Amino acid sequence: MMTDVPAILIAEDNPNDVELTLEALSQHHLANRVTVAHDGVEAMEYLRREGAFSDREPGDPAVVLLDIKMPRKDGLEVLREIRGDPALKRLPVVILTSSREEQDLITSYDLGVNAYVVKPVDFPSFIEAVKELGVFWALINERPPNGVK
Amino acid sequence: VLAALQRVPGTAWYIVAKEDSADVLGSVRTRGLTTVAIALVLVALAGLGALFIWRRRESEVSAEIRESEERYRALIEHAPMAIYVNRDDRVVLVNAACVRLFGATSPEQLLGRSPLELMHPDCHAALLERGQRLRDEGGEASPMEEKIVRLDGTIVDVEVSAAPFQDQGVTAIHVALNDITERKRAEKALLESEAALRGILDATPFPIALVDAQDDVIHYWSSSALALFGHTAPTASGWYDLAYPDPEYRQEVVRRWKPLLEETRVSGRPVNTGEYRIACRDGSERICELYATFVADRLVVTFNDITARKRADEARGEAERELAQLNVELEQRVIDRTAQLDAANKELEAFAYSVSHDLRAPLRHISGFSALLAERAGDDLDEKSRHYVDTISRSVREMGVLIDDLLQFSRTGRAELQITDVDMEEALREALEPLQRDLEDRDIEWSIGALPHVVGDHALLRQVWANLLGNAVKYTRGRTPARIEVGARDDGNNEDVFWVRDNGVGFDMAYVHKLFGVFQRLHDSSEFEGTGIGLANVQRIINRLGGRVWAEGAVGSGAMFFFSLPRRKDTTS
Repeated sequence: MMTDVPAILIAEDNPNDVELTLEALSQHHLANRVTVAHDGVEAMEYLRREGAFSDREPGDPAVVLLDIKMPRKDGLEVLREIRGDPALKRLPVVILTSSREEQDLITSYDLGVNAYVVKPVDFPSFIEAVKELGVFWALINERPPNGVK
Repeated sequence: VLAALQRVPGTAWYIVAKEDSADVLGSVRTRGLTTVAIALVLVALAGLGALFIWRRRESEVSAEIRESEERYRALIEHAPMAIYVNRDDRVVLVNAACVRLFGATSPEQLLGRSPLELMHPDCHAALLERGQRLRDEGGEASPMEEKIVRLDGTIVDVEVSAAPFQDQGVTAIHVALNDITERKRAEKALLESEAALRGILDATPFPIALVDAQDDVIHYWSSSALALFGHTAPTASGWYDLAYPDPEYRQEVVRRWKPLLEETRVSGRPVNTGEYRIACRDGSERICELYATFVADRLVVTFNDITARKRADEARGEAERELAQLNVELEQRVIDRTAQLDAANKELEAFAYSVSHDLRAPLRHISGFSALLAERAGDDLDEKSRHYVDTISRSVREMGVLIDDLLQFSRTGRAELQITDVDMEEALREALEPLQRDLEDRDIEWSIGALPHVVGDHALLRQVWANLLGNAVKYTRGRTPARIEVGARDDGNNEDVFWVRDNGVGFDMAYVHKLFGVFQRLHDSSEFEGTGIGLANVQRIINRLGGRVWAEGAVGSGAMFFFSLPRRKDTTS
């Protein structure tokens, strides 16, 4: 929280979902601490400060909110790469998805996800879920120590 | 005169010698005369002696002839065979056997008769011909079968042999008759017996042939054998040539036959020589099992025609091969279809996943943005606009539930079964828990019977109970009290049957077939909420566990739902 790096990285390709998520977070004054990646490749580039993000300020977000179904690289692959990367392996990752598929759940937990949240269809429930996620991971949860790299 | 008298010794004769003294001078002449006289005497003596010897000899010879004739007569007289002598077509001699044969009491009854009188008229021609031939050519007539007529008129079969001989300068015929009545009778009996045996052989349905094992000639075919092979009459052909026209096959048959024939010859028992392809007259072929046995030197072959059986066997073999081929094809088709089914399932899974993700997202957006719209408009929205927004939100929620139900149904079909021993009472208790909220202000009389353990998937069976009990609770709404019964029975068919009965609104049996269909509903959703997936789920689960589901009901008088589960010995798999 002492860094300028935004607390939340959202990896989400659907602009409607991005907008609704940001709306939910803004209701809790967390929207200004959010970065959005539009697919898995962009998310990894951001985390590794590569490509378009090569000159961003160093530091990790407090949490990554990962959609599963994304173009180019899906959420599960991103999760696998994060867990396989010594510099990123302790990063809190939450899957935020429409899928309640058992296989997705199993794969996610096997890969070491920190939480798995199914986006509620009903908007009030959605607002509530995103708010709680944001508050918990950005404000309440203690981040893993830096400098393990 | 000088005289002398002297008796010839041994005879009645006397010799007188006289000499005149005047003749003394002629003594030489006298001496000569004396010498002549002496010579004459000597000759006379010798002649007397010879006569004597001759006479003696003669008497000796005639005695021999007499004896010989007596012997001959005695021989004839006592011969066991009837004999008569025919001289000048008259019977001149008969023996005792002949007297007996003709039924006479003394030879006189036969003597002097013509032999023709004694013979049956049928034989006269042959008799005359033979008599003529014997007289003309001599020799001896070989035995012939003829018939005689006895004095009492009865006819007797005889075998006649005849030979000529000279009797007092005449050619007589010596005829010997042998009574063959017994032989003829035996022959007749033999013929009858043989005819009877042939009749028996012809009457049996088993074809039989009598074959000479030495010269390979067929002596007899039974009529069924003739019929079997199409022959019309016994043929004198060789058995092997006839039955096995193909030389190569014939050789093989002979090779197989010979040791078996030896075997049956030694053992004296019939031997099954195996199966042979035997040629028929029309060129077709019969497959027969041949039994062989020796009767005297003849080989009796019995045929067991197994052609039909062999053909049937072949047909069955062919059918079996075809069936096996079909099975292989079928298996391959099952494999192919299973692969296709797997592929289709995977596709369905992908589809379900896509539905899960892709359909829910726009719903969420509709819900989200309409909520944001309502929030932003705030009090500016009139009542009608607010109703529109509310309707949008409600519809979105309903669609969300539909999608969730559909996904659950899809998962029910795809989820791997966790087969264990399931305590149905426990599964039922677990299913009742989530219903508690619905039960809060309800008046329900529960009647839950003892439920057996089954082999199945605990989670899925809990869902079955949840769906059935949920329905029962839902459709008895408004009944006071509502009655819900749960029970189980042993169906005796190696399966357990469970049921849930309620006194709710029931259903029309006319639509019972729609009851278990996906999204099929028999009630208005404004009356009873729901998507119509519950019973479809129940059916899918029970079917996957090898059981059946069915229902009974009537409008206004409740419903009864049944499901069965097969019993399995193995509870661990």
